[in-house]
Amino acid sequence: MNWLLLRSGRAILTLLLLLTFTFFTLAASGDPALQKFSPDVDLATIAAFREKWGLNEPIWKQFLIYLERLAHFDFGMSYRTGRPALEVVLDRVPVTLSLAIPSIVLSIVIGIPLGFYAAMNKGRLADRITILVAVMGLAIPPFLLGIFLMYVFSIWLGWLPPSGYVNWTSYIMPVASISAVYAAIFARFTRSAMVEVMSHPMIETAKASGLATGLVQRVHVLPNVLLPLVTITALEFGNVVTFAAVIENLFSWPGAGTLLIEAVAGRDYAVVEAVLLLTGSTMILANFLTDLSYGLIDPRIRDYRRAYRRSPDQLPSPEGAA
Amino acid sequence: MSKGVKRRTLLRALAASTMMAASFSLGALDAAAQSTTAGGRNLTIAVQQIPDNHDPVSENTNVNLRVMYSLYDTLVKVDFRNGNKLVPGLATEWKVIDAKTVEFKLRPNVVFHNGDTFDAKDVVATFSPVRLGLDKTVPVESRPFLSGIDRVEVVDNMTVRFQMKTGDAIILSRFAYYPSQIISATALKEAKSYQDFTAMDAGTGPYSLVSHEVGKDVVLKKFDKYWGNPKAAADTVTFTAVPELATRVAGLLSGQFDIITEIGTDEVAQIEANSATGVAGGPVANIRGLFYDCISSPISDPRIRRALNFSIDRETLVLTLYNGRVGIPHDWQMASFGDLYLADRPAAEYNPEKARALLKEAGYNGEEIVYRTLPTYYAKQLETAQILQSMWKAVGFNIKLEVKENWDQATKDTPDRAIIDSSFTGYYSDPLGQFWRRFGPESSYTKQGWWTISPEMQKLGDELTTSTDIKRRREVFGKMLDEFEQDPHGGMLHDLAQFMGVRKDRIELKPLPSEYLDLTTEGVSFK
Repeated sequence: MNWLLLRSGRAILTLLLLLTFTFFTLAASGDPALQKFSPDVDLATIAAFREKWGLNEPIWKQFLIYLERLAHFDFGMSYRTGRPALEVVLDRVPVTLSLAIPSIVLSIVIGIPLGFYAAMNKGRLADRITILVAVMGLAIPPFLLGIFLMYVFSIWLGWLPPSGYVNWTSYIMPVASISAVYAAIFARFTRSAMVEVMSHPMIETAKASGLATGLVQRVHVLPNVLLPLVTITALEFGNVVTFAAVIENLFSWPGAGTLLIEAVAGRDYAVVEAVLLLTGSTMILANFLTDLSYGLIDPRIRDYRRAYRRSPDQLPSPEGAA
Repeated sequence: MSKGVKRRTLLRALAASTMMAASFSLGALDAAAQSTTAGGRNLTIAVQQIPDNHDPVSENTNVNLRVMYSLYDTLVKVDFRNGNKLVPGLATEWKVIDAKTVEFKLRPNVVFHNGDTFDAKDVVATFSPVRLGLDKTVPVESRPFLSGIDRVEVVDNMTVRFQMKTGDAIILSRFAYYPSQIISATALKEAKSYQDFTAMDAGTGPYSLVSHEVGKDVVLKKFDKYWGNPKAAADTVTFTAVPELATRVAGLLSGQFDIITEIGTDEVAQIEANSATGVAGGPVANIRGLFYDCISSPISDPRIRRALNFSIDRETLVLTLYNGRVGIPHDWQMASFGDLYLADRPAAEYNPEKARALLKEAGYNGEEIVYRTLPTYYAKQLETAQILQSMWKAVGFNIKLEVKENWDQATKDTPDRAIIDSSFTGYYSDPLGQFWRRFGPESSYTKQGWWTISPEMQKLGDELTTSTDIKRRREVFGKMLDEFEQDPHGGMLHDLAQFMGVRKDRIELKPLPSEYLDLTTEGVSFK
């Protein structure tokens, strides 16, 4: 219970810091009124805009008003559209998910077996080639890969539509651009985790006791690799929005990423805050679920937590247990 | 429950939720999928941005003007293809009673997209206080254009009379150009708030609004009950937001789009190399230039500002950046001014020797002059700024180039503010819609203290505004340009152009020399 309270308190503080930092940074770097209208707008129009949206109040007061509304689950209104900010953001989330989820799934499907294969062939040519490909995947920025794919498959071959959603083929280039990075991350991470586990004495013991290699891998190696993999998956899922912003913009997918870019440029505070609040909450929730899943995946952690609940003062560290 | 079952359950739950989320997302996208498919008499136009709303007075951007031309009509129309001649629109005839009064006979049997029939009440609603910026809680952009209107009188159901506050030399043009697009009174009345009204289709234009998803697309369809000629060329038009230029070009070349907007000169060769695609467009009624902070800044001495202008080699600039596709105006004017165009006025002089002499005379000792620019608001903006910096440096200026994110940062009033980028749209075919709108007393820059207007210039400006004697107005405008040359509040660079990529295997596009996009049969024809 204490653990849950501590985690919740930390999550709220994180979100509050995120909101505060974003709000004041945006306010200090541009007036929403001057982003909304043309550069030669009449001063009376600017004054009316400020009046309408309460921008004449001191910035700290605007922030307090925003927080007060947020406490009542009112995310504010979009300056651009006059619609509730949360509604504007939620309209765009499905598009982002439709890119992020297949990208993550594809990255896992490609990256983990690749890392596994490299680890199994540690030091050989196959390992070096795999690592080289993974490094390239990490090094090439997704937007550059996206432009390259666009030139090959849209302009040169004319096979794939470069912009928006036309049919299922529209997914291929954006998902490939995002997945290239994540598959590389998963491959490298899986490889290093596998190599570490395989150097553990228990593996030698298992092999010495005559167990088949496949059985050793399935029973002893994979469960131990799963824990760090779940952690990295949760972390990277939160990061996907960052990549989605670039890729959505490049391939003209009207998702939360492009909305964030538009809202930051237009200083549409409420929308920016709503996107970041949702993104931040997703990351916090993902981390929280990851922590919970540790108990399911690793019996040692589950046993440790049970023991902790019984007598918190007489325990070795969980690392010791591992 | 065993450990193995728990793991399997976890994995199954994860797989199920993934599939659910993916199918939900696909469903959301499916509904909009058709809008980006080209074909038939349907046009797909990739634009860098779509408007946030459809109310002409709420947003004055090229993004909005492009769509507005298809949705709305004005009382008087501008025949852009015929020397900007003013011709009947929603008014069949008019009478300029004096410089302060004009009366319009309204066109009968005109139907709005919402089914209303057009009459005097719609004209009254169009020019109602809330749309003229008189409601302090409703921000609109009409004040610089329509604040001279004193009142609208309904003579009868189909006749209206406008009374201006003072004599207005361009009284008729006020009702032909932005933002005098006529709206439906019923739409304004029925909207819950003005914000709600801005999202409505309240026009009589050749196309009506089908849907609008902010940030994604605007879909229009041919309005069968359109009163005028020419009619809509396409059955449907989709303006789809494609922020990246590379994607717009790829979409054009691969056949996904029929028209793409805002292409640069770098893309022209690539588009023209493809036999199915071509480039349309050219100069629009706009001049690309600079604003100078003339008060308490390092360039407050007019001699320094004159030296800045003498140092600009405009021919090299347009040749380098635009391959000569844009022209250099003869001072702050455009040929579309018609009777007011002073054709014999020379182009701005490039004279580095004169610039050096002026700097010496002004006692300039290499003080730092800050030039704030944005990277991409205008075509080739950063490149232009860097070239200008080099040209100024060559005659002895010490220019510090600061690249800003937005206009708020660029125009921020600090002691070092000196030069910023700007453009000068010619809203009317008259200096009042361009030169005097930007440098006169109603300009937001004048009001923000970038400069003061001399009594002589003000007197000339007043005469230009109120006189209807063409000969005298020409004389006055010439004197104003002479005066401005001696004490410049800005620098003129070149004509501003807009280029579009077109699928020439499918359509022929004849763009207007304006920021409006004509999608009637006069502007577009299918092959």
